[in-house]
Amino acid sequence: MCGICGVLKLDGSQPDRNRLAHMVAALHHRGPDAFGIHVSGPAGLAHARLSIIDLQTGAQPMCVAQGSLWITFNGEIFNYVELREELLRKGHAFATRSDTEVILNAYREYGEDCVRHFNGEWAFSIWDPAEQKLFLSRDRSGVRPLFYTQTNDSFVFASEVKALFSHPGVSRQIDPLGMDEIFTFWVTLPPRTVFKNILQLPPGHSLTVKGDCVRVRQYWSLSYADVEDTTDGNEHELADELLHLLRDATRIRLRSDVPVGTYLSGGIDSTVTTALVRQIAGDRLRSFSISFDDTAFDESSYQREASAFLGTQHSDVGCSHADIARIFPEVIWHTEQPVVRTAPAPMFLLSQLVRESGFKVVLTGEGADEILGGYDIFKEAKIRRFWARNLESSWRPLLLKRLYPYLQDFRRQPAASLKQFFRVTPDDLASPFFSHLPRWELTSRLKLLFSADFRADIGNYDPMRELKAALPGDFDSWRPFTQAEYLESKYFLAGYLLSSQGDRMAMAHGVEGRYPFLDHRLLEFAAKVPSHLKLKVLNEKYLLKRACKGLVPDSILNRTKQPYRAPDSKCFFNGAAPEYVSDLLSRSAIEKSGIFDPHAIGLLVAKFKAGKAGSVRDDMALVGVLSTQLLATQFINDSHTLSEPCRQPISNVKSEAFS
Amino acid sequence: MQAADIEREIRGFLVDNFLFGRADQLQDDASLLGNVIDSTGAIELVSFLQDRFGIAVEDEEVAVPENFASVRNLVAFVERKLAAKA
Repeated sequence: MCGICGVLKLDGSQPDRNRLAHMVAALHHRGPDAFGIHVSGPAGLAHARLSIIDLQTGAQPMCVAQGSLWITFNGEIFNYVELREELLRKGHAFATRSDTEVILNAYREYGEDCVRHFNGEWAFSIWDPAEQKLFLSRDRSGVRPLFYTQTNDSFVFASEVKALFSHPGVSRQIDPLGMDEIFTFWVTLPPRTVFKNILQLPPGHSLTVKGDCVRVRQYWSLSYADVEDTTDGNEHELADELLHLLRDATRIRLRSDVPVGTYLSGGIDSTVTTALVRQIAGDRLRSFSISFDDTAFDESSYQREASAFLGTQHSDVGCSHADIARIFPEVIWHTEQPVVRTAPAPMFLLSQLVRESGFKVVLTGEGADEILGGYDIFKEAKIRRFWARNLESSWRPLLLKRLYPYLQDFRRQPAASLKQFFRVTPDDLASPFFSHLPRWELTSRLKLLFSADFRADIGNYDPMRELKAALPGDFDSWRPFTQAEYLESKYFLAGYLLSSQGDRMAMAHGVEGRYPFLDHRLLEFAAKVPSHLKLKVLNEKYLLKRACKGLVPDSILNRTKQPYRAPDSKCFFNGAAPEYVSDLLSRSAIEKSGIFDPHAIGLLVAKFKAGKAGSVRDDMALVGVLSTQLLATQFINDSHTLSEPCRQPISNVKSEAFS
Repeated sequence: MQAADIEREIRGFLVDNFLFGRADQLQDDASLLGNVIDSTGAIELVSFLQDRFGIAVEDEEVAVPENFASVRNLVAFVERKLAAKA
């Protein structure tokens, strides 16, 4: 796992090595083991390395055939062993045992279509001197990040925006439209980011730059077959196939020249992942988790149970309100986008624990909820649709309460207000966004906090219309469950979960996450599983539960699903909050960044200080404002240097051995 | 308490509490539930009404859509409750 960046001079001149060195230095957390820079003609590639495969000869940027192709690569091609054999048979020579060289030779053999042969998580750039062509690609699910921009004389790319901002030709501005999207969907719609003129390569896409022409092309997308009418007769076979694919996806994700650990959250997905790793890799497996002082969020009893059942040596890092407040500036330095929840923060502590325990690679259960029907949003949509058949029913809204047994505030609501909030109008029913409307409308409320000037910059931009225009042509005819799944996997997964909560938090400490559930063979399989086997009535991940019976303790299989969450505003208004909180929410700081209305923020802060806040809306508003203020301060307001927050070691690590 | 005072108090609460101070977002007859008052908002509104006006609001009363439908209806509801108390 690594960080990559590069420059292609569009005027044909040679890029400045010092400039590349400056850029790659901004990625040191992603690859602290080695740096490399290569300049060839108008192209310069740079690499910050975290050594995982082929520790001796895997240095980058790497070339093949006497410099006929150069590459800088972040990620893993898990099927590189098989591909290498195939390419050897086709006459390609290899000087190393690395997956990096496999990419280069695959590119020589298959051209830009080489990416269709890869099973992995990647962001890479190849410079082809003969063709004078720069080729960039990003994996199917968007596990690894890749950003780019253009200056007056260069095309510039990098794993993270901070490396682009280290190039003096790249200007730093917040994009009001990107902010409008975050404050609707929690993510921006690719290729947009929250920074003006900074684009992200969408998942499943490649890009080429030749001459002054930049071309972006989609090489993979998931097609959801209409399989609802198939019978249940093959349920058993589907469960077997799911487990078989998951086992193989796990097996190839254990290819590594350094030891591999796992995350154990206490839920089904990470437990079955750990169980399969344990079966394949054998004894002495290390597992890692977060526990919360705040019992409303803590799942450590389930984590200990899973660890004991599977016989892993388990380590756990405690996370308090004070921890979240303390590390939040660093968290936003890494997410590089505002968040409306603090949930990334504990993941930051977790990767620190993993790194300090001597591990660089972890397998996790990420992705299962999206592809196998795990999320409450799927249930919620089902109930709302069911209820829409009888709008006056008084008991149907009560079903909604069953959805959120862990949310005390929610359960205290009178049924009438639930009914109003989860109202179902004929317009809603006809909307392609039916499943997501309550979440998006609630989040959109936060846009009332924007300053008049910022609202003027946004103008009459409508992010939902933008999203609608990007949907597949026949989306309206899809089944509702599939529509919800698509929105969740296509946007939320890559834009938030794998990014702010995934790659960015893990790579903050040079830890690589690997996700068996996101193996594209599994994605393609899951897209063909009938939805009633994913969400059976209101039983989530039904087929997965069936597939992993015996591998996972029954208590974990049968427990009520608790979505991963962390304490939010409580962390920042408890009398002991760090100074930056009041500084960044002060009138002068709000005026300085210009994004929010000082009067509105004043009211919000006063409400928190008076102890009268605490609704989901207030929590999201506070975290959204604070993270935006941090982002603006760290990336925009200080125009000379990027201000990386200082780092402190953690001390609250508990380790327990079960083996 | 005059209807105008009740209305001012209620408007002030709705604007500050649910609309982050944006008075321009509160229309006279627009539906409040689902538009102004969101998922966990009903409980905040009920506790405000109880604290500020000293009236008790039952769940069944929240369930009558007319009571909370608009600012006007809300003012009328509070007036009725105050009258019943007196």
